[in-house]
Amino acid sequence: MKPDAFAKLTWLELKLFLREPLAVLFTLGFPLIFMFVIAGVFNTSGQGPDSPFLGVGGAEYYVVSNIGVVIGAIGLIALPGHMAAYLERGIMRRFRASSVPVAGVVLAQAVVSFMVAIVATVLLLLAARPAYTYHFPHSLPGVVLGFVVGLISFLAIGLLIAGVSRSTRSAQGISFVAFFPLWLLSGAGPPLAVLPAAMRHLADFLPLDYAVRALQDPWFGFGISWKNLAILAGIAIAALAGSILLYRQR
Amino acid sequence: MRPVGRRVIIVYPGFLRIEQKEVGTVAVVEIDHLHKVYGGVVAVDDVSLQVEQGEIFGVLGPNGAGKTTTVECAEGLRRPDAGRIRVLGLDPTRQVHELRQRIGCQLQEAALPDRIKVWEALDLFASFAPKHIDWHLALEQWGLKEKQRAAFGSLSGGQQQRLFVALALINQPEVVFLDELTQGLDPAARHVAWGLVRAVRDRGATVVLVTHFMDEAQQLCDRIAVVDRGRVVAIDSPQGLIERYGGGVRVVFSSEPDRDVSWLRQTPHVKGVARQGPRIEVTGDGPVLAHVGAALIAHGIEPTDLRLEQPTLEDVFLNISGRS
Repeated sequence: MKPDAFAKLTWLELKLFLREPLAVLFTLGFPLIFMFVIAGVFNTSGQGPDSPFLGVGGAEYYVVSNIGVVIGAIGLIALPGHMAAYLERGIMRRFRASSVPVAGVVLAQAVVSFMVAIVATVLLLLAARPAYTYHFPHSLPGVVLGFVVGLISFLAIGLLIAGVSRSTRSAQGISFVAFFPLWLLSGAGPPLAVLPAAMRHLADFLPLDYAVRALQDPWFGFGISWKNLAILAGIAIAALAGSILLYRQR
Repeated sequence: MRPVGRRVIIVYPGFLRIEQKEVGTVAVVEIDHLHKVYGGVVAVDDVSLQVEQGEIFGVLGPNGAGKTTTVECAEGLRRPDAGRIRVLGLDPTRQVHELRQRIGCQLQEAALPDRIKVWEALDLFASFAPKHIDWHLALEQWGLKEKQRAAFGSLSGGQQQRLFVALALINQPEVVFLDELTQGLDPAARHVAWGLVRAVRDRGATVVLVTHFMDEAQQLCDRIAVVDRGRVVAIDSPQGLIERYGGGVRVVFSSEPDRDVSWLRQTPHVKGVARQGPRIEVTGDGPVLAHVGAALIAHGIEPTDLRLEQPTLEDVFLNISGRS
């Protein structure tokens, strides 16, 4: 693939994303609104060591964990709808028949998703600045690593959702059905510590919890959780392998 | 030694033309005993055909006959279950990347993102082609100049179709596959599209045209493969097919519904007489029109609408497929 052709494809995919008002609104707006609501509610609570907010206080806890919501919104909502339309409507076939490789389209989507995720995160942190107190990450490389691995993992899940869906509508259905429970049980909703044991156990099987923890731990100074990163990487590899098989058939 | 070849080129331009004509019989698409099954349903049973350089080759048949599957195997979009395909000497399964740079495809079921602009699509596809025409030129050629900033989703069916053909040609392909090119076009737009297909061939490309429109195949194609139920049932020029399978000419006229004309059967060159209300249809061969005319006058009938109807590809198809 020629680099200038790939650059053109990525630029085009970015423009197409920005022309989808719903995707833009949801990925940039939803984490922001939710952060203001929940961080506002728990702003002053839970500073103590035995609080459910990992000892950092409600406001800081939610500012950081909503970066995980950004990752979830992009991987579970924005990407599957877009890719499912490409598969269902024959856009991918049209591209493939003209030497625009599927891998190139997916890679361009990934690059656009990273750009959008970074913008959404910066927006979130800037918007939270005047209202809430939060500290600079304890380990910035750790946070960046968690962000990158978490987003790749959720992009792979998004590709898989698009691949298993028969249509754009069913992809959107799966997206929403997957997003809300994952989000509520990710620790970005109610802190996991206050959930009943059964719910906590269920959260162990849901991937957004790992992405949120992969951001929280290095940010709050609990170190990098290699176990969480390994689980996210495993999910990414499995979902990518499944996607490759499914996309070959379409 | 001065190269002899060059001298020949300068001194004998006529000889060169003969050589080019010989090149013209080279097969650019060869399909041998193609077989393809989807989930237990045989889409293509046994298709063999050869497309020669510089011709417009029609693949004609009803919906579901296996036409699209056949060309999609040739385009490298589907993998054959059995059989051998070569396009420009390349194997579409193993040499698909090399092949795609030299062919152009207009697909039957394909789309672009609704919000992509016309110029963006042309610009993108051009950038992935190793050699390509200036897409500004393509805009002019296909009458899309004033639509270049329009989103794909806002284009009419005809405009979308023209964009797809422009995209199929952007890499200056040697072979162009056009699958149901005029689907959804109004009659005026169809005629424009036919002119464009001829223009593509005149620029030196070989065209493979998939269609279920008999008149389109008859108008455009140099040779036609008639496909039915996954098999090629005949290959010939449109005229050759009509002569072989058309079932002879028809003499048609109107008369009063109760008038007996069964005696026409005794007229020379008449093979059959059929009647539908006032319309009488006499099938036959050779000078049947003159004989029928004379016989009618002799019986005191002077129809004002006596005429000869030539068989069309539609008759050919109905006769070969046994569906008439």
